[in-house]
Amino acid sequence: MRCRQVVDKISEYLDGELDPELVRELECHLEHCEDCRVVVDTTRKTVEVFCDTEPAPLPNDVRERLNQMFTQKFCKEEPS
Amino acid sequence: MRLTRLARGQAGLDLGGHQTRNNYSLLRDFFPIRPSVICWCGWERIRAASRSVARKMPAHLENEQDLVAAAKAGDSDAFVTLLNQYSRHIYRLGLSITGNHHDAEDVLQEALLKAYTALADFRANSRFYTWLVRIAVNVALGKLRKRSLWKESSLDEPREGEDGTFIPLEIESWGEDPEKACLNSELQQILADVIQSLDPKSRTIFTLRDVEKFSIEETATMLGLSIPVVKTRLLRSRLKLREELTKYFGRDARNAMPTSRR
Repeated sequence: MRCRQVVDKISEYLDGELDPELVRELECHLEHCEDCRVVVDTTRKTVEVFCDTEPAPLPNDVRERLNQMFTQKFCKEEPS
Repeated sequence: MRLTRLARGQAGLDLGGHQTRNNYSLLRDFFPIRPSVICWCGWERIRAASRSVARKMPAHLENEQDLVAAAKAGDSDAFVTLLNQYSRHIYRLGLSITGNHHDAEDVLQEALLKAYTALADFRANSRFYTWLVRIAVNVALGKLRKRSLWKESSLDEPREGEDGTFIPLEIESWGEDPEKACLNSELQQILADVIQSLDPKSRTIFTLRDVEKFSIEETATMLGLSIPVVKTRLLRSRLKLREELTKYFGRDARNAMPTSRR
């Protein structure tokens, strides 16, 4: 396997969807290619950091307007 | 009672809570990279870790099914509890796709209102969160289409080879893990910023797959795209974002970091 093929297969490799034979070829390449190791490692970290980071709390003004919207909605539906 | 609590804010809308050459050394003829920044990246750690990236969907509420049933029966408190669990995820989704806070708020409000109105149509054979995200994605895509940003998204990226392969340029390992390198709020801002370096279609695909953790198949279905298109865009998005994040977290990138890390 060559470097360009490693780049092509990174996604499937990181998603665990690569054919086992190709996994062996890719990992064999990684053992000898420092640059590809860096690219694979930092691509893994990229996916992980997006996966693992919780969303920020809603901004206060956004939360307040959403609150108002549903308060009005529920008011209209409340039987008098 | 419900209305009083809502009006006082107690019930919660807490809501807060590249032609590719055969190897990189040839590429350096065109894009010189200093040898000092090429570092060994921890092959043993790669081997030790499982190959695939672990993915966790937002946590279920323990009694989610009961809450959905109660909300369907008209209990607005139950609906508010569901919103509290997922609102910030929907806001982040809207922000990632549309690229601005104004539209993200519209997406949040419209999606939640549609969900509330259509709750009777929700079937318990899927997760409430999945159903909510489908609604939010449709609202967000409507905004992109209005601005003609969806169809105009191009697959073209700089530094592609003639065969469409993306050529990595930043061959620099990272220092500390991002979570340790800066405050959580700074990391959230960095991620929100770098994702905007992608075109709208690519960042929508990336967001659904790698931020919201849907499968390739679910992402393709939600967006009405083929699986090969989703896979191609996802790969390029990951490589592009890797390069953007290397500017922050690469061993030689201290000057790009927020003040807390300098």
